[in-house]
Amino acid sequence: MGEPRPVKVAIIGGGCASVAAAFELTRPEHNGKYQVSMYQLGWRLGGKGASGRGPADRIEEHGLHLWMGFYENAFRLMRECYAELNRDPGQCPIADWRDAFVPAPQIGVAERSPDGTWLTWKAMLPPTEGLPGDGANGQQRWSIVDYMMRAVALLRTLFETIQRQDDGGHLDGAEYSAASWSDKRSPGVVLDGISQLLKYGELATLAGLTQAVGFLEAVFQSLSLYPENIILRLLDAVGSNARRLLEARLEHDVPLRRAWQIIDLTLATLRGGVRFGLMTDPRGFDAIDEYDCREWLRLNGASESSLDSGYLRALYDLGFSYENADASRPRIAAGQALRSMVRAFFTYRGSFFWRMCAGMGDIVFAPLYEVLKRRGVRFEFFHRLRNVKLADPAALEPGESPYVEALEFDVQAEVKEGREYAPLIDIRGLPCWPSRPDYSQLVDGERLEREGWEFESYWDERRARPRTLRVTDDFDLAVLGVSLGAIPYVCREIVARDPRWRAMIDHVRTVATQAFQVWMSEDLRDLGWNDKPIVLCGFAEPFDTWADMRHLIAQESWPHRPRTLAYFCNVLPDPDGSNGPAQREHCQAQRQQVRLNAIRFLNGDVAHLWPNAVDASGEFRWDLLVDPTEADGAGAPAAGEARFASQYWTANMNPSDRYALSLPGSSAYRISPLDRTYDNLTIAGDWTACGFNAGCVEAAVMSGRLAAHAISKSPRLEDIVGFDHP
Amino acid sequence: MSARKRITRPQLERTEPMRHWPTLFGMAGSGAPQTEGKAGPAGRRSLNDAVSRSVDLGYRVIDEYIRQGQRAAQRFTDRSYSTQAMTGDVQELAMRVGRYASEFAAVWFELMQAAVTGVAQRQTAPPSNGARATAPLSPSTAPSAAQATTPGYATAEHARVRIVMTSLRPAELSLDLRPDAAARPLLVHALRAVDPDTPRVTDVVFEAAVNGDPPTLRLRVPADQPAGVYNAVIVDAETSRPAGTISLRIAPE
Amino acid sequence: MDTAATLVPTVLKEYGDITRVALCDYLRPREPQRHLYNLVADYPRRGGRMLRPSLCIATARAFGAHLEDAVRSAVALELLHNAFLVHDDVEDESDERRGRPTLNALHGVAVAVNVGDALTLLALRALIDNRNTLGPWLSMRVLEEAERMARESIEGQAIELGWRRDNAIDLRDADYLDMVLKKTCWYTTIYPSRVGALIATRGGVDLDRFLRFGFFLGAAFQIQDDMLNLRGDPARYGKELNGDILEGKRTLMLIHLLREATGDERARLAELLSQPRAARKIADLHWIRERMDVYGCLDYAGSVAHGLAGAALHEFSLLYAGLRESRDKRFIEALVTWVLERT
Repeated sequence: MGEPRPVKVAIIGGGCASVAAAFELTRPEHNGKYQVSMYQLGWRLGGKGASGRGPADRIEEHGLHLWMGFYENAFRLMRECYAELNRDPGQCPIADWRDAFVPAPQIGVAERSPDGTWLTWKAMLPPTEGLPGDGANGQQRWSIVDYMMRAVALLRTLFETIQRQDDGGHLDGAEYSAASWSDKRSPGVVLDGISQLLKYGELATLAGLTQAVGFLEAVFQSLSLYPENIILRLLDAVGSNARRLLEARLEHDVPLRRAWQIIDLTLATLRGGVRFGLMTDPRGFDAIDEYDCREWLRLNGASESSLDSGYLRALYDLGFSYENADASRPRIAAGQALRSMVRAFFTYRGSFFWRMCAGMGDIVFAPLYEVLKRRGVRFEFFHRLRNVKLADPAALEPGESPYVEALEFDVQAEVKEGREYAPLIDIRGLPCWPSRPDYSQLVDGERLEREGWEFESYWDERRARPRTLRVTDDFDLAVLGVSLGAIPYVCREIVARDPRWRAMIDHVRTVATQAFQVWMSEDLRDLGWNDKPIVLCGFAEPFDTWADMRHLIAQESWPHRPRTLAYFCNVLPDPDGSNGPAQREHCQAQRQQVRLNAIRFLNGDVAHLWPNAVDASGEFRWDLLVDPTEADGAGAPAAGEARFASQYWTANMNPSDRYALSLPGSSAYRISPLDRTYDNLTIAGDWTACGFNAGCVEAAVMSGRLAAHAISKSPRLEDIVGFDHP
Repeated sequence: MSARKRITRPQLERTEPMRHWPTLFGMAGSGAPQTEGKAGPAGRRSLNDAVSRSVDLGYRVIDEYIRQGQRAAQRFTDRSYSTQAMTGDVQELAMRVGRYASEFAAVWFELMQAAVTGVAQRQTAPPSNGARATAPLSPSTAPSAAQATTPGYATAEHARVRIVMTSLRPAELSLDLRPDAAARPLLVHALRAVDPDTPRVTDVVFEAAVNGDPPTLRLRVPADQPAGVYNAVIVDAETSRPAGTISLRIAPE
Repeated sequence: MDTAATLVPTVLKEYGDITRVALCDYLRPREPQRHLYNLVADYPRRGGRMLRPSLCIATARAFGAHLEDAVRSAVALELLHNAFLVHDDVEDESDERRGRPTLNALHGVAVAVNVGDALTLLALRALIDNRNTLGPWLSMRVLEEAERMARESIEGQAIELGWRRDNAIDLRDADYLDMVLKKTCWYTTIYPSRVGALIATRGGVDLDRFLRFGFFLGAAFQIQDDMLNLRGDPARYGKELNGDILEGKRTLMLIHLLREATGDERARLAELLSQPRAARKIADLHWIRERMDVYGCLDYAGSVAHGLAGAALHEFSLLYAGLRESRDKRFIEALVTWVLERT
């Protein structure tokens, strides 16, 4: 008979999930069993993570991409990729993964105080042992009880820290220690101690509170031995006594107020965990996914001021968690929110946040492209998926599942001489993706350039020719890695026939996003920001997140280097509240809107962050902006607002560029890559039911690994970190 | 098209995350924390995904059921057996329902009456040999040996129904009709036996009341009809709601 | 002090005996004896676990009611259960029940159907008699519960019959659970719990809270029951072994087999299941049974039952948390493990 022929896998879409799937399927262990072809529209991989290089080789991103220290799957992917790539550090400035990713430990939350000024609350989360992606994670199986105990330990640390401050120490930058109180007293003794505390009002002192929290730790260690109402009474008592004790000082002592907000929210979480039986619920955190996070915390006794704290606002901001992109409707599924928080705070390795040292395309997708090419993956750029065609149900044999019969593409442009398109450019030794395609490689390239073909735009349907891939002839199995926003357009048949897919697109919603980047000629210190580089959330609408990206300037090729680089981003409401992809004519209008938003923002709110960036009349000093096309003395430079035109901004409106939300009640409608309804199709993306149902790189990589498992049973599910997790 | 066999994805042992494995081991309710890592890696790996998936699936099923129930609760206003919710052959279902309904309906009247008028409830007249308790009827005018029926319950009003039954074999008919239904346009389909293979009694029709005459139930029993019990539901032709039941017993030769 | 292992059998026996004694009131010989009332008493007299009435009484007492308040509803439930058994045996064309021939085998279909109807009527009678002890309002509420339970059971039965009639081979586990929820859970676990709590609290507790617990417990019970049909001890189990396969009943095992089997095997299964019961051969039965072993269908079903039991325990802890400790409360909790471990 001979060797069985390789299985042809078509992966559609070149985002995080797709490349992760490709990386798994082409591992040497598979011995070439899977022949992978990746189909991507336009000229670059990356999807929402794609980036380009514009004038002065400046990095142009979709938005802000932060990696977190608990992204075990994503980091492991990148570390393996860089190791396999084995770049020569003499040739390439970013050769090792530690050149690519560096710790960024400082995060901040902006808070508006009653008198209108903005305060920033900076948290320095201490570095922890190990590095993300280190592996050997099989033993690290967290349960909700474990997290509860960590939360109680956090409480104890906060109380101890407050006490230390009272005794003359300093509260800012509250560190917490993970050491837990392991005095193994018997339940009877502990219960006696608790009753004592409750009865005799000793909780009215800080020392008493600390002791009470110690009892809480003992209780959570053996939860089943204690009656629920005692636990709740203790939590309530700690909360009310702490509030009473600290209340008088909260208004003036800002650091104390922040510590109290964390204490309050932690107590509410613990109370909720007990009342909702989360410790024993087989669904884990999913059990409370019907609630919005704030709503759930409120139900469990959190005060309004804690619910309004910068801490929670940051959580919502980082996840773009605004229904319909409406800033007045922050909504996130409570279960997923808790899951994100406990993973982020309790399981991060190395640093809480990590930064990339160049554009995401350069750091993530160029190396992955190179490794995958070496492994034999075939890349078909300029292929836009139009339709996933199912086999006629009447023609199915008895017992046969429905399946994908054909994949219909538009070939947007042909490559000359039928060669494979070479997508990368070299920027001082670093392979990068350009901001525009290389027309010289394309048939009729000059005409396409002249006519302004927008290969990445959903609305530009021009093409060279159609192309249909047929099952068994051209592909055996398909991985659908296009984003959720595109599904209604490319899977019309499936959506029409399959109520679960219809329910998914009805309930799992997306939002468009907006972003802008400014390069300025003065240092931030001179502009009035005296602190270390930061990522700041919770700031003024419409750009509530600011990231200081000065470390990237060196990667760009400026004749006169800017001193400051700032990224801003947020959600972008759909025009007329339509909550769906806009019409083509809206694209220009939205782009214009983002520009206006940015200008207004720079004229108005940014002064709170950079007081010296505005002139005496309060207007933004437009001359600060560095224009990449200006050479010294070449013509009259633009003045005033018009200078903004030289900067970079984007309205991410393409359906596949929309960001998937985790709205309350929506995670039940997500479909898993492991779902086998269509026996030759799987899906991949952060919008799927991938275990960590939130829009982030980690979820995307997990889903890609799940898609690979669906095809090859590898990696084992137990090896996908965080999949088996409450 | 290719003649080669189509390749498909493999079947997977597990398709769901294990969100809380202590429960899956049957240690639920203990809430025992697992900080020392009980049930080490080997134990976890041998755990069947069917367990976790079944829990997730179970919650989805029951939660959806509850959600639907809340919606249906508004629709379901009276005590009739709504056929909307039923799947499968409505007739067959209605037949089964009819069997229960005939019992429930009769006793229901008694209960309703007792609740309304406070009259001490009557004992159920035990079915006498060969006859069944029925709503009061005008005497049948069948030429055959239809057994005399014993009057059963008194209801608040009388519903007069005329029965014309033609049968060469001994047969008895019982009819339960809601009192207010006699004036409605009524429909009855064929009478069916429990066994689906037994031929139905199809020659049956309800003629509406006209000019002061009571409604008439006409029924003909073929000579070769097998012995047994046949039931049918009387349906209100306009609302499609059950209005009563007919039960026909054909004695063996 | 009973251990967990002995608690369930002890309570089942105790409440079962009480129910049986009360049941006799409704089975007193009347005319027509030979053709009806002797037969009516047949199935109830053959014994049985008395799971449903015990759950009803235990729930009522756990929520604070007196034993006497709940007994008649328990009796009604047991009568109705037997009515369902009679009718099921007719529909499934079964030959054996609790170690003896079925009513339809002994006396024919028509008589059996009539007996089933009579049992239903007697159940209704028992519920009406609640008026004297519970008062008209509460007994009316119990009747409404009974009506809902009967309707759900009939609908569930219809779904299941429809599958057999249409020879459904594409069922998913969710379909099975939907059906079991209606057909079995309502009258085995949901209704007894709801009525028990209803009686004890006079409608003071939200009965929908019992839907989840009852569903998980009942589903685990039914799956275990289906498994016993394939591998239980015939003497204790009470029905013929492998009878479900013979009937083509869509158990979780069969659904799993249909899902896992190869194309050829599926085609053969579809063919076998489309035949009338009488035409099915022993060899075919054995083939199906053997395929189930090959694909681990029983282990799969066991795991599912295990998971559902775990969820039942979780729901129990939420539902009964506020009640004071009592033997009845412990009995109900112990039921969850018992439904899996019984033989």
